[in-house]
Amino acid sequence: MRNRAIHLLAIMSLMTAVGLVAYPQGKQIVLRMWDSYVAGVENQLFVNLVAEITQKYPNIKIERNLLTHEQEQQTIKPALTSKTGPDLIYYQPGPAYINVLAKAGLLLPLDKYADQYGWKKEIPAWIYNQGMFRGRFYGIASRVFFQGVYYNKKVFSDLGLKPPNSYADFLNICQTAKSKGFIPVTMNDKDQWPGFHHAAIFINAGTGRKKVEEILSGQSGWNVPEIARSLDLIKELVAKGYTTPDPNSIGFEDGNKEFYSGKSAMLLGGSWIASNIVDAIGDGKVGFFPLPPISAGMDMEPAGGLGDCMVVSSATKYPDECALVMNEIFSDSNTKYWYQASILPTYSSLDVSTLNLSYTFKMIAEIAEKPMGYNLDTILGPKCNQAIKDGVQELIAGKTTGAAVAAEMQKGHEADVRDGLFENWLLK
Amino acid sequence: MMNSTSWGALRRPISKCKDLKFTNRKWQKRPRGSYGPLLFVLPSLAFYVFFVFIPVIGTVRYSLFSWDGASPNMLFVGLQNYVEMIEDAIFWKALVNNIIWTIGTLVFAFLMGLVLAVVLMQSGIKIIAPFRVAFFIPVVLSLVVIGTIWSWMYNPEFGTINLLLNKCGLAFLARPWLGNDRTVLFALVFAGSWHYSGFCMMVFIAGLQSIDPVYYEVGVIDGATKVRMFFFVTIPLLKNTMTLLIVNVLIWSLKIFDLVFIMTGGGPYHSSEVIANYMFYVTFRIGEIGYGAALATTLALLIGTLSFVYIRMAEKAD
Repeated sequence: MRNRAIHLLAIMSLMTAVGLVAYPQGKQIVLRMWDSYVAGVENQLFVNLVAEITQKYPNIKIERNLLTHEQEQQTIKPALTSKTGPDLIYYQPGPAYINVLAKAGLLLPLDKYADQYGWKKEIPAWIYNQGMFRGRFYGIASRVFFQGVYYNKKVFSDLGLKPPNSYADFLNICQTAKSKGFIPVTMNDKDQWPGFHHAAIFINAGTGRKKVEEILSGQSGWNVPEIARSLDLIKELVAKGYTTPDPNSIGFEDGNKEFYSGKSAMLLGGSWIASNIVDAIGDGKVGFFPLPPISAGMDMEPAGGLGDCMVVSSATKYPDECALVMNEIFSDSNTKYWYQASILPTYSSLDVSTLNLSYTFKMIAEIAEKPMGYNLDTILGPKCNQAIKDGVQELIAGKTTGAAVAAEMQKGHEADVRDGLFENWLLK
Repeated sequence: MMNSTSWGALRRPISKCKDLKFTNRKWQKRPRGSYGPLLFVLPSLAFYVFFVFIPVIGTVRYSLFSWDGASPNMLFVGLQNYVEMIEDAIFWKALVNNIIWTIGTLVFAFLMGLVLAVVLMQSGIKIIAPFRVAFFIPVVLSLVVIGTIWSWMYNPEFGTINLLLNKCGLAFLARPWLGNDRTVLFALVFAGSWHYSGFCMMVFIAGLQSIDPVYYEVGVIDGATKVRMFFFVTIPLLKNTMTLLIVNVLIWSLKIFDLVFIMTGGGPYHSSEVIANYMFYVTFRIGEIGYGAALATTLALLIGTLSFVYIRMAEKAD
């Protein structure tokens, strides 16, 4: 009996010792993370990232809570104000999203960790600055995206068309496709949020990056003729019958299916659907071009922006571990997972040629290397965004003018500035 | 058969029933003002207080502040949110849409329910249960499911409705039902009425079953036709049922949210906006919690007033 007790004690001591070796970095902690990568390759990306991080740091356990962007927007405020919410959050960058949380003191300033991990040096300034609010650094945007026009290569080939070099070329393509029984451009806006991107694409093509920068820096306003004219392009395109009939009644997914099925020649869309396109119709079947500028001499650039900013709750008990996880998520060794999920990470020194990527995604990655214009909803405040959402639907329906929408945008923008949400981030 | 003593015992207060022998002394000694039974309602009361009463008070309080839902600082603005609401064109549009919804539901669901109930109660139809179930099924379906199904049916490209119209040679009637500001509300009301008509039918069936057949026998003896008996016997005797149902429709129509949220989100450009959806939009999309709370309070007052009317009428009907 005594021997058995000694053996038991020895085994327990051994187990304790093994435990100490296996978990050398202190007690087990659980970090709760909210992200919007709910399905498919994007979900797999985070499954891989979490596995890598927890293998490297066994004392850290990451519990993911998957919510769509919309669900997250509806619940994040009470979750954080209750002090019982997540530690790490993937949220949209910009005045309408993380600035609201930062202004309320719900996010942890990460300047200390930016110095510690060298983020300020590694991350390109224009990306780093979008994570800043009132002089403090709050988060790292994880993906670059841009919007423009996807085209069906087979339809273009059958119709003898080539990607356009000017807006007049683009309209000619639309006319040719229409005359041959194709829907020239798939446009969908029943879900309302695609309106942000439609506006960004046409404002970018109509005014160019510099004009938008002037507006963002306060040197000009949205209610100027250039913006009005750009927005009127949406109305004209629909009126000429160059888009999906009745875009206001077509949802995002249904619109994409229209393009995938070959009914339409082109699709107004963003780089984030590249993997969906490959899944739906195979690799190498589509091409992409930025919507050409309406005036000669302007650069042909897609409307680009940053998405999914990783931020930390100010109520977290584990700020150091959160920063550590952030650093790991964006480390070079883990960047490959982002590319494999067809997501363009905001910064990376990884040699992409070593990765087995789809043709479509390589095309996307090449475009992202070039200068881009501006996506709007992630750099504008909530009231200006709502003016865009409502305005684009009215333009599509032919119920308003570009000038009226531009005036509403300016009104909303001024309200966002008054509310202290919009900052001239170009001057940060 | 019960004897007279037993009837008398039931009529008298139990404490005065000397002919009833209680052997349990504790029962006899129990004080008259005991709060014991309150324990049984306590769980429900606690649930009501925590999940209804306190949030309602909180919402009314929030409506007096300007707040983004996140900031620790709430700015007291008094009734400013209500003033803003009165000046807000979208609020009035939403209210008008709610009224249109109510009228539409009365036209479609209420009348359809009445017609179905009368048809199913005809003596010629022997097997009534399967029809009742078939017409009642939409009532038990979630409005989210109904919204999704009807969104597909209204789709201008592959939706059943436009497809049928095209096949029937009525292509000129096909249109983007949910994308057009002239048709969207009508399309939503129709989908909602499809859901609600089954409920109306069941209430009408219950009402019809409570009518004494003697009235119809007298009508037959007097030589009344079925149509005359419907208008001069059935309808007057269904008056209380109809009153209750109409008030119920009013309440349901004012608080409608799910269907609009799923099918259009209030769009295009707020043309199908209703108060509950606008409240959600203002609160969660724009982040104006105070203004959203003012809308919620106004909606609650409207519904509360109608509920009061509903309860009074229900009592009268009893």
